[in-house]
This record gives sequence, structure tokens and C-alpha cells, in this order.
Amino acid sequence: MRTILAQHPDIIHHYLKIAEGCIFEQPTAVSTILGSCVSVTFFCPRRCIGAIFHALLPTISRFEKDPDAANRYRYVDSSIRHIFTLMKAKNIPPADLQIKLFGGAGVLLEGELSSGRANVEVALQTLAELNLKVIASDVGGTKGRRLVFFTHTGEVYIRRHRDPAEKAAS
Amino acid sequence: MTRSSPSGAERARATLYERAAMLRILIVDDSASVRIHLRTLLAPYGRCDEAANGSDAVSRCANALQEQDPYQLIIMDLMMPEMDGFTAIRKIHSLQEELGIDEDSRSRIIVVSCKDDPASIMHAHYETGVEQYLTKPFIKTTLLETLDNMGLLDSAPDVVDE
Repeated sequence: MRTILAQHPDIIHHYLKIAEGCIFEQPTAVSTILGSCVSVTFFCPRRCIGAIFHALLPTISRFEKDPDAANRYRYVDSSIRHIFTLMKAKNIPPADLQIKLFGGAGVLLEGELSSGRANVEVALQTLAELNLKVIASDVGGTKGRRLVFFTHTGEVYIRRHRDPAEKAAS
Repeated sequence: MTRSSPSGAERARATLYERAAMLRILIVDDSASVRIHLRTLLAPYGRCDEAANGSDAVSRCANALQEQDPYQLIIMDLMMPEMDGFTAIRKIHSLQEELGIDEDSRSRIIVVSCKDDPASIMHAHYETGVEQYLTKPFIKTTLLETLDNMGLLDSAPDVVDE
């Protein structure tokens, strides 16, 4: 993974923490580590704009009394809807977006309290409601994933952790 | 002008090609044009065979296991006559289980399907145990990116310790 990043010395590197998300207009390599959490990448090839989030739990309404005051990127459904709105504000129609879905493993990494399957199910349902077509998904399994998303090309590189039990305990 | 010895990058490319060239690949799709397209894309990375339905795919996998030359990669469509992709994947997993092949050594499967509804994608990932799912029409870079992410194109191991 370090090799992949070393091949792009001229672009910004950003580490995405749990419950964070962002839209990137400058070429950026965004890395994050997923267990049961979910990341969705959004990429507009025409404008070379990308967005990604790292969400912990499936639905905001189930956990927050006041969703408007909550961190939207903590939840899968509100993260997708928020990034959809941000892309719309930049005049990017849904049909121009390439969507990829990652994570949702049956393993909990440090700081995670979530269900991978529920996160992925809500992600797919929310994307379908917004007419956003998933072109690729790499989800499930029992190993954590380390991910790097290049926001100006839409490429996503994944490496799996060796031992889920070992990693979960770290 | 004398030719210098191969650079590190050239050696790395050669190693990568040797490793990829060892892959045995089964392309399963009822559309002949899709099979031809996939074969064209994947030919540089391994030896490709084709099956036009799930039943044919299961037979080919059984033969390959008998010959001790199993498929490392299977590209599987879902909607096909005679036997659908989900059934074929279950049967292929059963064949490998019966032979005591551990999970890490089994054929790696990518579903490539025009079914893009949440139920189909969920079923593939969580009922059938397939981690990689691409929707048609797919582009070459997405397919190659998926192979790389499965550790099939990279000379580096497909796991990280850090």
C-alpha cells in the first residue's frame, strides 16, 4: 500500500477517520481502514471530482433524536444523502457518478460497534433510492480492508488484513 | 549501443507477468459476445476457458479439480439458462469443500452481472460469500482494479500487517 502511495508523490494524502467524509476537487489520495464500517466512493469522470465517507452505523434515525444536529458521516444513510446533495450543488447529476462500495466485514476493528451486513444493506438501499448505480462492490468476508481512493481518477486500491482476530485485538 | 541489464521496474513487470500468466481463469456467461470481450481483456493475465451456463461451469471446475489444475479465478454471470450463477457458485464451493480445500486456497470468484438491485448484491456477498461484484456494463480499468485488489495481479501479497 505504501508503494501505491509512493507512485503519487505529487498529490495530497489524507487519512479518513471513522465518521468523516469529504468531497475533493483537488487530486487527493484518501486512505482509511475498514472492518464492519462502510465506505462509499463517488467519482465524476467528467469533472474529476471525488467524494468518500467512512460510516460506522446504518441509519441516523435509529440512533439520533435530532438528526440535523448530529454528525451525518457517522451513519451510512445520511452520509450518502449528504454527499448526493453536495454533488448536486456542484451540478453533477446522479448518472455522471461512478459509485463503489467497500467494507462491511464480519470483523470489528478498534472503535467499531457496528454490523457490517446492516451497513451494506442500508448503503445499497439508500443508493438505489437515489438512483445511484453501484459499479463495483468489495464487501463482506472476515478480514479488515485498508483502502486508498484516488479522488481524481476514481481508482480504489484495497489490501486485506492478515488475521482478523489479531487485528481486532490491536 | 549496448543494452543494459533490466531495471528494477522491468524485473518487477516480468515477475508480475509470470505470476499472472500462471492464473487459470474460467469465464462463465451465456452471452458469447461478453465471453469474447472478457477473454480479450483477461488473456494477458492467464489461460482462459469459457462456460455458457452454470451447469457447464460446475462440470469444468470438477474436471479441473480432478486434473489437479484448478481455476484460480472464476468470472461468473448470474442470470443464465440451465443453472444460474448463484447455484453454480454454491456447487463449486461444495466441490472444493468435499476435497478439503481450505477457504484461502479456493477459486476466487468475481460476479459480473447486469443485476444491480440491492437484493442480488446482498445475496452474492452475504449468502454466497462472494466479496467482489461488478455490474454490467463494466469498464476494463474496474475489472483490472478488482483483480489487483484480490492480489491476483500484484507481486506483493494481498494482505497487510500494519
